[in-house]
Amino acid sequence: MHPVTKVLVVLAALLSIALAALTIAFTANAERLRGDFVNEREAAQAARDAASRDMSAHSEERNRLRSEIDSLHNQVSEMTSRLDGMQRENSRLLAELRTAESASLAVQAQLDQLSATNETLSNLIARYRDEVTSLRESGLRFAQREIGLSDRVSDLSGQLEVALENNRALQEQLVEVRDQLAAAATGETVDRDAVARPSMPIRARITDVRRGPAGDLLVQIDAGQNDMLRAMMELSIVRGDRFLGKVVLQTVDIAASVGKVDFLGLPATEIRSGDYVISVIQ
Amino acid sequence: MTQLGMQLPGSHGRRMSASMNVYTALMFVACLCLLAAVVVVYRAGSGIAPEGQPWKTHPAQQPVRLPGAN
Repeated sequence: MHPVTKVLVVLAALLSIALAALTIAFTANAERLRGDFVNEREAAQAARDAASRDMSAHSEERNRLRSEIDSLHNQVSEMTSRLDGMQRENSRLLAELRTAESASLAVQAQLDQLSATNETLSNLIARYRDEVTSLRESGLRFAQREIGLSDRVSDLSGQLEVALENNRALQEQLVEVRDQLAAAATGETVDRDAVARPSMPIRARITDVRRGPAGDLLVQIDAGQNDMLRAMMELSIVRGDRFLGKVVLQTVDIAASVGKVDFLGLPATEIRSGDYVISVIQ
Repeated sequence: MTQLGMQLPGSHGRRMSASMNVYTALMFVACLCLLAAVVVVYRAGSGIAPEGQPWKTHPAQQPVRLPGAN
């Protein structure tokens, strides 16, 4: 074998050994790099997945935060408007407070004035009460005096009535005496048994005046059997304190009677409704 | 070799001096190819081996550090 060939063989062997070593190292490193590359790729993919999930979560969170921000903005706007409204309400209430305070001062002044007026009126009322008391006492005295005078008037009125009744009775007696004298002068007798007088005082009003069939003057009075009247009773017709004539009852009902008028020779006077008939006081 | 009848190159016997033949050329070419392969593997290995030394490998429990990379 040529020495060059030997050298080349040795060189080839060495290069082979070197190549083998380098190839082994290269292969190991390449394998290591490939593994790391795969791991890195997987890690990157995982990171991308995680990032996408984070992005989606972030997007959702961002949307949620945006919606929350919008709602908060709306709330802020609403609160701002409410605050403005409350501030306006506060201003209005403050103005009303000042107005109320002014009104309160005015009312207090009115109250003070009314208190002074009340005190003045109380004093006036006290004086009026005293004056009224004195006036009432005077009125009482006058009333008592009036009562006394009234009693005196009543007494005098009663005495007057008695006197008037006595006057009428005397007039009737005078008429009777005159009739008796006339009868005695002519020789006639008066039948007094047919006519009777009431045994108790009677006073009735003439309600109707008319002429009878025989031309006699008849009167109707508002007294009858309930008043102890009976037929042929004789009553006197008066108008005030004037004696007009006599009436002899013809018919007597329960509460009404009809009698014939006898003027006893006196000038006939007009008998009217409203005239009274009375009994002769015994 | 002697059984083959001295027909192949290089089979002149013990008496003749050795000379360069085709095998020498083939060896030369092989050496050149090996040299080229060594050079290529060296350059490639330098790119991925730690510290640019192609006969070194990355430690198993440590992160990979490429030469020239941050």
